Amino acid sequence: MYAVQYIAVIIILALMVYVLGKYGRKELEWQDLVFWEALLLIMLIVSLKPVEISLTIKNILGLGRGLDALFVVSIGLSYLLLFRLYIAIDKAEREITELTRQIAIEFQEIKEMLEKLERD
Amino acid sequence: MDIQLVVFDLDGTLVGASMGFDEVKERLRGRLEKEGISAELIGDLTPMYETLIEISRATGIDFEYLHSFLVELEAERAKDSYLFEGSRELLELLKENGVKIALMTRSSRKATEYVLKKHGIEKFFDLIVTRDDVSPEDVKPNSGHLKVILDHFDVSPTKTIVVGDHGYDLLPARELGCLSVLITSNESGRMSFKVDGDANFEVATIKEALELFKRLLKTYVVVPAYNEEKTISNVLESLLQYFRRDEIVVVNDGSNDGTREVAREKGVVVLTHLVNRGLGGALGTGIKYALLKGAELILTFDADGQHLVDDALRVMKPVAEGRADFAVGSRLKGDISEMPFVKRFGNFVLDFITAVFARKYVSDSQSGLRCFNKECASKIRITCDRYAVSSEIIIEASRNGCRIVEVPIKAVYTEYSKKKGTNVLEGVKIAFNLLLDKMR
Repeated sequence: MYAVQYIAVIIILALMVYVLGKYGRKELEWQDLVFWEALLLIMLIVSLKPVEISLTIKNILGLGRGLDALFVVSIGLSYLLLFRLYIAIDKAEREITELTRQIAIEFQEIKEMLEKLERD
Repeated sequence: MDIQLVVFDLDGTLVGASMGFDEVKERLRGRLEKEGISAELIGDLTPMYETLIEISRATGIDFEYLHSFLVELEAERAKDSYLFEGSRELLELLKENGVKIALMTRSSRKATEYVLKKHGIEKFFDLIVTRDDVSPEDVKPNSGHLKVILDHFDVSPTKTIVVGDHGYDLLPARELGCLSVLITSNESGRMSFKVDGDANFEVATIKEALELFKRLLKTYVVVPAYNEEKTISNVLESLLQYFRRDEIVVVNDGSNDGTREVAREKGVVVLTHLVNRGLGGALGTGIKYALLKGAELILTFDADGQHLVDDALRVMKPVAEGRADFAVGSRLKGDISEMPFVKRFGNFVLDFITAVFARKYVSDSQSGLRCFNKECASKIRITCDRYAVSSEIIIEASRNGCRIVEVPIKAVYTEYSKKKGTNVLEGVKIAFNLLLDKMR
């Protein structure tokens, strides 16, 4: 094993524990937990057997060198992550809209109530 | 809507009678012939009252004498008159809402009073103007008849609705700029000839008119506005001609200019988004507020001055009449000579995308002038915050089984409004958003 593999394995294991901890503190939904742990597990396997896996991918996809194939796959994975990020931001945006909407309507209702009180 | 005065026609609108006007006419002809008046002078007796005046002038016979024949026949006809189903309920609804009610009829005062008493509806009327109360040259279809009524109440014509079953009611309404409702299929009591005229709203019976008024009395206008201080004042001014202050809902979408202050000055409802959320966010807020207030109809109107308030009434028409659940003002069906080419192309692309997702083709999916009824508005779930909302609304309406109608309108493209709104880049974003929607 190369030194970089040891570093990768340590980082990935730490991340796995971190994600589990987040779930334990209820900061993550279980679907998210499964997604992240699965992703980290794949990365762990890749970092343990990088050469074999990259050669396998190379053979399947027919891409130049083994390492190139690995890059291609990781770029693909990061797009997947980007997509998830987009969805998450979109959800947050909607929540902000809902919040803004609620505040706008409630302010108006308070105003109407005050005006009514003034009139009575 | 800001309805302050409703002017009703009597015969064929509120009441019917088994004796038709054709029969009245034939009996009047017989009576006149008995008096020795030539058939040439009598002609086809259309319209009867005016013909009597002419005969009196030509022959020197006292008009009151000739007129008494007609009054007699009218009184006889009034005896077997009946109130249409829904007439009383409509009058009650208007009274409950504090609307003034007037009667404008070509009938004689004697027959009118008799009919009103017979059916116990005289108490509803604040003013009764029969043909005997105005000079012959003022009797409707001349506008003098209606003018007397408007002057009496000192109400603006745009806040007045004339309800009748005949072109004779529509002509003075149009001339003075009042709104009009035409009752199209009350056969009994209708005058014996037709005059064409376009009404703002058309319903088959007075019973349907009751539903129409219920909707009109609770119509809200949602005006999404982001940095529109230059145009919003005029837009609100034009809307105030027809709508009440508490029915106009400006959604100030986090503007950083004086939009909020300008709108507040007009006394309309102003909902303020603390941060800018985009067109979809603003429309959603306005619609939610209107539904909370019990709106029956919700109109959306752009704040940049590209819509005409007359077009808004046209878009409202099918929904108010109950023929559709959702109407969209189509700039492409109307006059597009002023629409810049880039916009026309951008709209085409968006229409195509919308049609794919909605499985229904709407020729102008990006129009900001729309009208929903309560049922349709509460079914629509707005998730797109930005401009994609225009497509989303149509897609949602179509999927929820709302009856969608397109109404041709004219868009006014000022230099100012050209810079705003959808462009081709927005179009790509909308397409992407709609695709994502499929995956959520």
